[in-house]
Amino acid sequence: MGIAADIAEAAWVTGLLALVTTAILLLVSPPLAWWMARTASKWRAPVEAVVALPLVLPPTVLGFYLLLAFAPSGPLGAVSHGLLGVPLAFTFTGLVIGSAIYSLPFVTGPLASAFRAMDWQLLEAAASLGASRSGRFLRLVLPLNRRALIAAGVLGFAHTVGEFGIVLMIGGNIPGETRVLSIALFDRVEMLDYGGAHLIAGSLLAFSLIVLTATYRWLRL
Amino acid sequence: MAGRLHRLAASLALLGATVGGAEPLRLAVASNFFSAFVRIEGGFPEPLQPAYGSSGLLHAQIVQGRPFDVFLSADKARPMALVRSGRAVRPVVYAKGRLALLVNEGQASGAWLEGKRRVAIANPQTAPYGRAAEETLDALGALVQRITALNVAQAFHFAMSGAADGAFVALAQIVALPEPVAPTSYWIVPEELYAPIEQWAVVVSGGDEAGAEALLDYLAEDGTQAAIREAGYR
Repeated sequence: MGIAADIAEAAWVTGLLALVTTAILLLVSPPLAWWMARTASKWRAPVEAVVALPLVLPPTVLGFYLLLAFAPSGPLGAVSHGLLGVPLAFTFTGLVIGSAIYSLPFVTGPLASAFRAMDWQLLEAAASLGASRSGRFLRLVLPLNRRALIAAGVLGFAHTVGEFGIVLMIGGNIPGETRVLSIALFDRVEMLDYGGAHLIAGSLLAFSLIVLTATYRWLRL
Repeated sequence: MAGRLHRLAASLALLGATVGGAEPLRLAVASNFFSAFVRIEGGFPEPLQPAYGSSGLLHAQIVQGRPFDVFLSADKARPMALVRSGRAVRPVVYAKGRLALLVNEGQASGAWLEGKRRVAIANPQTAPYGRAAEETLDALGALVQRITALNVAQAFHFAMSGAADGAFVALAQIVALPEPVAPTSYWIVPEELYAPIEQWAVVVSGGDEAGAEALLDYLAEDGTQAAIREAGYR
């Protein structure tokens, strides 16, 4: 396969991975962030700590444990392999799981901050007018925080595009399945193909800069 | 506060002096040679500071100017390229590698590769053992799914963790296991299935060249060569 086709394929895998991961996180994060913002439970701090772990842990730590968990004898691999007959290690599905964990704080964090800054009286007014809990969340909280939702989604997407350490540990560098752009770049550098390396690195740099500039401009942060 | 910082700086300097002594010889060592290197490093009088990686990665780092005194590659092409471009001298074979297939389930053999398996190999474009693994798979017409690892060390890890069904590794890595690990078995790949893995070393120019020469002399000694063969080389 030519270099251009190889890079295009890696770009496709990267985009798809970021898209699927962001979609999953935009389903999971709003309720989780809402709970974190509102609860008085003693479990709030530990749960927030677990969610924030990928911010401080080296991605290789997550990747190491995930690979062990994905093995057919591991807790996740046993379920997936045994019940569904699908392996997780070295598959796109495995990468989605890893990316979702890795990018979770980048989506949940901004949402929780936004929820905490909300005007509670609006919610009380809605409740007194008879709006149900789910109704309040779907028709009041989410529309009011749509900027935060979009910002969180963009961050989650961009962060997944920028992933390297976890993919290195659990991906297996399979073209069209787990070879993402950051890995393709690493390969090019090892082969001393600086032309290909510049193409990938430059594109990633430009992409990240454009996305972040657009986000900051739009949010007027 | 300032006094405390001074004391800290002084003790760090002292620590550096005691640990440092002589400047250690900086070695770029191909991952497959790790266990053999650990066996033989004690016999060399000077302190050694090895950095491990795939031959391709280490070669790229040397070209980019990372300071090394010796490069123990897993192939011939990369040390020779350094010699041609004037970055290294005195190429010499220090070990001849042997490829092995390590498997988690069943009996390792050429026939094992006929099944629908997922087998880890080192990156064929940067790691000679990966290239040899690819040649073996092609020679046997095996249709296993190839999982590409960074280097033989990661290929070994992919199999040992159970995530891959098996891996092509250096025999030296298997020999280095403290004891045979329960469900695994291995198969020494017949030499005719892959081009010989000649591992070449060079003295990297611009560093401690006298120290590097001494290390290459040490590697060529009969006793050292016997220890290297015992570690899984030929």
